[in-house]
Amino acid sequence: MNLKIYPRFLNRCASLRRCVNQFLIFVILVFGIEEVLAESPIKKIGTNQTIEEISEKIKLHSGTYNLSIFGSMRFNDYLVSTKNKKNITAATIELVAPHWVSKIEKIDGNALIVFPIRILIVEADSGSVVSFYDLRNLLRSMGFKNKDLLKEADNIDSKFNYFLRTVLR
Amino acid sequence: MHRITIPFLFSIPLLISCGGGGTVDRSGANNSGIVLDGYLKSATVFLDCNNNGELDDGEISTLSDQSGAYYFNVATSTVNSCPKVAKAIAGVTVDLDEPNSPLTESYTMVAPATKSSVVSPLTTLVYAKIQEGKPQEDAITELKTEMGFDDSIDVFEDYVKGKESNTNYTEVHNVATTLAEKLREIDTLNPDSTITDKLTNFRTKVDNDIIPILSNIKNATSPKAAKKLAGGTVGWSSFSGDYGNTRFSRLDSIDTTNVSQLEQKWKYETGRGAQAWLAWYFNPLVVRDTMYIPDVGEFTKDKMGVIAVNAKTGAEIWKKEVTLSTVKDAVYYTRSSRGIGYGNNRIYLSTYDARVWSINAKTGELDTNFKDNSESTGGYITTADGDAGYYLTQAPVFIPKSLIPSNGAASGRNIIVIGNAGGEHQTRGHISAYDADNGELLWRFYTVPSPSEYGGDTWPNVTTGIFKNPYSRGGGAVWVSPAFDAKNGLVIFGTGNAGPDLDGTRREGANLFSASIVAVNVATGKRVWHFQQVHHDLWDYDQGSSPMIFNLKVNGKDKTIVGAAGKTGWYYLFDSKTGELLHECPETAVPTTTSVVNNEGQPEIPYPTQPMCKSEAFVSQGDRTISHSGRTLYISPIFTPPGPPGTYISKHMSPSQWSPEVPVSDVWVEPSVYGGSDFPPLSHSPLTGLSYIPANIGPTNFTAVPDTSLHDPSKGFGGGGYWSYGRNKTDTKEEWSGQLVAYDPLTGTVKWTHKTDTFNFSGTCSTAGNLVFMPETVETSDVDVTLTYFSAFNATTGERLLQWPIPDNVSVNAGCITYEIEGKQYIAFAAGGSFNNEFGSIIGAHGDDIYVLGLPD
Repeated sequence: MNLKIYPRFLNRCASLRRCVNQFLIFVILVFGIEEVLAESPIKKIGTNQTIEEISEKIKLHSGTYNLSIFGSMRFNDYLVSTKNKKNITAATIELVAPHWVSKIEKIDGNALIVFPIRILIVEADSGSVVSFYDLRNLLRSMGFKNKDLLKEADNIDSKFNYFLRTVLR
Repeated sequence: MHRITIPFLFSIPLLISCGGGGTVDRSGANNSGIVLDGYLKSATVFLDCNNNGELDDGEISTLSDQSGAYYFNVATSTVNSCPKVAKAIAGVTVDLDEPNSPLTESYTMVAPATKSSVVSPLTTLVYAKIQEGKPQEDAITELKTEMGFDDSIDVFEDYVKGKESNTNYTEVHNVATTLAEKLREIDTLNPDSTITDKLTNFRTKVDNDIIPILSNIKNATSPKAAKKLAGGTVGWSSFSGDYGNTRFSRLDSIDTTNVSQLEQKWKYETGRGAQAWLAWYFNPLVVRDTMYIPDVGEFTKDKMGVIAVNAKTGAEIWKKEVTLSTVKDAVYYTRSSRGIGYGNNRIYLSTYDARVWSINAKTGELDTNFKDNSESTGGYITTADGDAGYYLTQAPVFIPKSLIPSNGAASGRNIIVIGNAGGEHQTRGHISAYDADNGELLWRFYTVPSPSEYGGDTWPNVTTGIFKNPYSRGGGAVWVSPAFDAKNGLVIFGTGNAGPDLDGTRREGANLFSASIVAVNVATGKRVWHFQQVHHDLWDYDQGSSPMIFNLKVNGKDKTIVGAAGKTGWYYLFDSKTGELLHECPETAVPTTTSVVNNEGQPEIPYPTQPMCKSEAFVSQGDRTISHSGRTLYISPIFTPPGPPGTYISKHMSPSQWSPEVPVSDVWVEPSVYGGSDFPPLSHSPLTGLSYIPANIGPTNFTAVPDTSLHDPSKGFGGGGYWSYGRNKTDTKEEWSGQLVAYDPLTGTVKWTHKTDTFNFSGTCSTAGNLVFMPETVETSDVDVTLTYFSAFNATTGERLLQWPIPDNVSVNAGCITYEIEGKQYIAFAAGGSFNNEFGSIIGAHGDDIYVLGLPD
């Protein structure tokens, strides 16, 4: 899957946030969880924890990076057309940190499109997978080339990765 | 032997109801008994049915009462089926032989299952012999033979009470005290070893350290004297010396009659050099015969660490340096570490990059099991992100699992509690509990609630625009270490200013929990009570020093009291359990008019009322004029709001003589931005019943300048304004000075004061020698020359009894500590950095040494 199609896909969406959710859920429903994990350019971390456990820990840890949980968490159950016809549950959590917004805005306000940062959690019988975008690659795929911007995005990616690793320890 | 389990819900009431109550049969005939070295108050006693020496889920436990008695509310047959273990807990348990302050080290005692209801060092020795395979009666006989006790002695007897009818128990008490000293040494130096190993070690130490000097021990004039013969130490194992932050020591070798003889015993030179913006607020810790010194690094280098030295000689044992991740320039100006905590043979170091490190106290090596996640190399945890504006200034507080109730995320864990600084960078404050062994985050209390949480309605709910989510920048930092009320299971802490600091135009409301005292449950981190000292703070009137916890008899009843000295000049006093004020602070109307408006047209809306206490303030609170550099300054009353720069303020806040309007730059408010009472540690003496408060006298000019864009926390102070303060050389010291205040919390009045020539940023400690120690700065006839002293005062009268000249006239910001090794009492303090130098060259020099004083040999 090529993320460069992403902006075109966005044009048909009512809002960025809803669009991303629809996009991810669409991919899951069409290709099934294994295919998503195998092909998605987004980053992912597997864990034995449930969605509820993960979301509680995200709330607990969010202050480490001064992340605010933006909007509310949404939970949906889906029946996936896989060989075993398993139920999966998905949730989206949106996070934003004022200092990340401040830094990105000072370099290029148009790049604020990447906020809030979204986490998609998919829970199946075998555990959960937490998926999220690599902001640097996402910005590049959208045509942003400013080195300072990509460096700052890389810094945020690094911290966000560490944050999730700690949440899922 | 079977394992006793009781339903979880029933175990809590047992613990609470039995700790201070129950009908106790002191004869020990049934399910009650006595815990003693001397009688031990607030020791944890439990039935160790799985013989591991630890209190596990399902094991029946209680607390010993104020006379050392315990009571299990179960059948006697149940009690007699398991060994009884008593844990004396550092900072909580009090030995009534030395009743004025809690023990400084923990230890464990055991009594065999079937016979004894007394738990003592002697029963522990019997139990150790039984564990070697000896029948109980043989173990008893062997002990009595070893110790030379005659036939009239029953080693399972209450020997303190036995002294009343049998003088032979005097020597038994002496011996027991020295055995307890060995148990303390074992638990402190080998906390992770099993109960079997501890008992084996105990047997060895008895043979090697006690038996050879047994005759001297038995003939000692008192248990205290006997303990000294056995190498007894009294340490200072946390930032404030105890969980109540009282900075009081029961040591009394140095007293009002001999304190003037104090001399330097040794000093340790850190070699860090003089540095203006790196104030030393820390004090060293002493555990057994080792002193641990926080190495707060150098201003321009990103290194911090810990140095272990011999507490008797100053000889270096080990030195550990850690490299910080990027520390932003913005943090440099507030580098002010309180340093380190101790527990379970680990030193916990907080660093400016908002990390906490775990260091083996014996070896100086990092504990790699202490980490954030599997990707981390370990040795540290990240409590917050420096890029977000966070950093750490407080010393971590270690709380053992035995003191944590069994109803929350922290239950069953040894924990460290740590709060984050950075409110002036517009962060969202929090305080957290981490597993002290593996670094896992267990709970976190946000000092600024989100809109859906309790108190969230005290902030505007802004969801659009650049300044949306004001709570996420709302400040409320936790700068200094919390107090821990073990009796009520509460972590109690003070919070910093709201964010932005001086600009309140985008944070309409009271802004909980900024500028507050908050109590949270130690097991869950949930709020139990709070008191906001200043609503909608516009003056940086936050809680600068750690709250204290001490006991007072109020209307004939023993109460656990929280005392917090505010920048406002009031000493706030609460019932620790409920948060109820001891002295009323009714909501009172204050000046509210200001012409501050932000760039979106929103005016400042100061809070219409503030809590104005009826108790006596310990500093002046404005409403006067002074002469400053040839001008008349209008010292406005407390809570007069700031104005914008270049404007005029008129009669809304002023006495009639201020009409017509005066420039904002000439309107100063008192107390100053530094209080009242700021960061220097207070102390409290249970002997005098007085609290000792370092305080400042003087005004500040506050100016509000609202932000026009979202603050970048890496760029420095985000206070939404600025303040100016400070005394010029032409000003009299009466207008800008400081004082040490002895305050009677019971009556809410000042008992005595000692004036200092300058603002007073020096901490205190007090002792059972009826002394209060505090460094101070003294002016000379040459305004450019000031002298600095380490001073001692009579705790009852305030009479200054000692002025020990500090070499090179270094100013001291840190609080002092005291400790005892081999019967000799020492006083130590860290002299370095110097916050006072912010005011220019007229006050003190910088330094980088640890000084240790003692009486002549």
